[in-house]
Amino acid sequence: MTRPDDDLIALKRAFEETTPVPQPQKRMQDIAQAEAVFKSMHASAAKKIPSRRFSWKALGAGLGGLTTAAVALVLVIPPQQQVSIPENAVVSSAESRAAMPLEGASLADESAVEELAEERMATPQAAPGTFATAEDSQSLRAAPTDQVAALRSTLESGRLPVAGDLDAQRLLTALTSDVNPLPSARYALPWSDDVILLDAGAYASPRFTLSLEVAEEPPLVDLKAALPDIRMVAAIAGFAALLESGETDLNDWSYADALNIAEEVGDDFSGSSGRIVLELLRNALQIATSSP
Amino acid sequence: MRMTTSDLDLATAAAAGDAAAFSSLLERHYDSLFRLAFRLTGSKAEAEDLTQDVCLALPTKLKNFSGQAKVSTWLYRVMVNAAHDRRRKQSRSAKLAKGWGDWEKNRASANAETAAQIDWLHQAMTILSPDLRDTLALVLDDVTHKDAADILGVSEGTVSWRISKAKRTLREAHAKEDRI
Repeated sequence: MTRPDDDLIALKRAFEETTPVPQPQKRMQDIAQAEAVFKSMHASAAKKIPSRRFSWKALGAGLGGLTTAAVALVLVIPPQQQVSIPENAVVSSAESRAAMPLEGASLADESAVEELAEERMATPQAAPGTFATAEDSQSLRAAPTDQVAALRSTLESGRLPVAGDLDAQRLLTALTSDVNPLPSARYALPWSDDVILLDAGAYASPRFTLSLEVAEEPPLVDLKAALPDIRMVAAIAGFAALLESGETDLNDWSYADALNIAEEVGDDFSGSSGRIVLELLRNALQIATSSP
Repeated sequence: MRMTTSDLDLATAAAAGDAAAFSSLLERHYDSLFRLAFRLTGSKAEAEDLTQDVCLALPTKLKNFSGQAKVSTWLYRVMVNAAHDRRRKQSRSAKLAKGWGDWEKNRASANAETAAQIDWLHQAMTILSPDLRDTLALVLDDVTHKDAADILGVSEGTVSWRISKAKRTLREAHAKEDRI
């Protein structure tokens, strides 16, 4: 059978052509029974409804919907003040740089963006207690030339560094467990081991973004065009990165940015966990901007 | 006269005990409820049972009709909940998961072209998860994403995401088929 390109159109057509009509006799019977129940119910308020009545105990139990369930340790906002890759940058590689525009092009497709976001949303977090402190992160930033070595040392000691910007060329974007590694095209490893087993039993697979001319670097997710769920997850992920860092802002990303994104899509999440996220973000922003 | 009365007026009158209004409302929506039931289950027999159950439950359910949603949306929500309830009962009673539809039975009574349609429809629906199937069943019935979200109790964004996911799943399945 020839199948049209658009699966949904084909599916709709198939449904229309194969959906049966109700049998007239059954239809009449159902309606008559329902009318009888209705009359019986209204004839006497105390009268019980016949035994075929549903038990609706579970009504609504599954309706809440998990609109935004996952918080991934992924910072989706690209660094903006990066202009070149230094000669001695350990994380740089010609292949990776060459591959980056390709990934950017593929991400222009909405489904690719969703796939990537979904992949990242599914990333499990490492076990509690395995993250380094904000002070560790500060020390990593303090000595740019030794950052990779310091980071490696941190990881080899069984701890995870804090996600965030390490210097102008490198942004630690994801700390993942051993599943769903991020696309290699955009990320380079400063060492050969792809996955590192931490003392806590979790696996770490750290990635750095490579530096690029700002104009050449496409955003990982076009938040303006992204679906509300993705935008809310981006806000939550950014919020998580800020909390992890202990900083009030990470380069060009702050609580205000996270709040702005969350508020733009807030209507889609009213009455759900999104409302709580908005409240948390407002409180965080207030604390971050209040005088000591 | 009744035909010109709005769904909302009928539902409000029925909720207040007007039997004629209840009958008119059911007459008006029975076919679409049955159609949705079939699309949720893929089985004529299941759809008939489900529609009957919903019809019998409606007098009680109407007590809770608040008029905040469109009547058709509210009725679809009742049907979707009933389908979910039925699935849960079936899985609790340890029946084997039959998936979607009584495909072979339908196919046997169809002509060649319709049988091919049923083949493809069955193939497409069985590769989708129940959530995606339910969402598709609504959207393919020309329910808006907003109303589908209301019916399913999820956000509009989730409905859009599910449709996108369903498209992608079908596309991937076809690509796989083409490679074989």
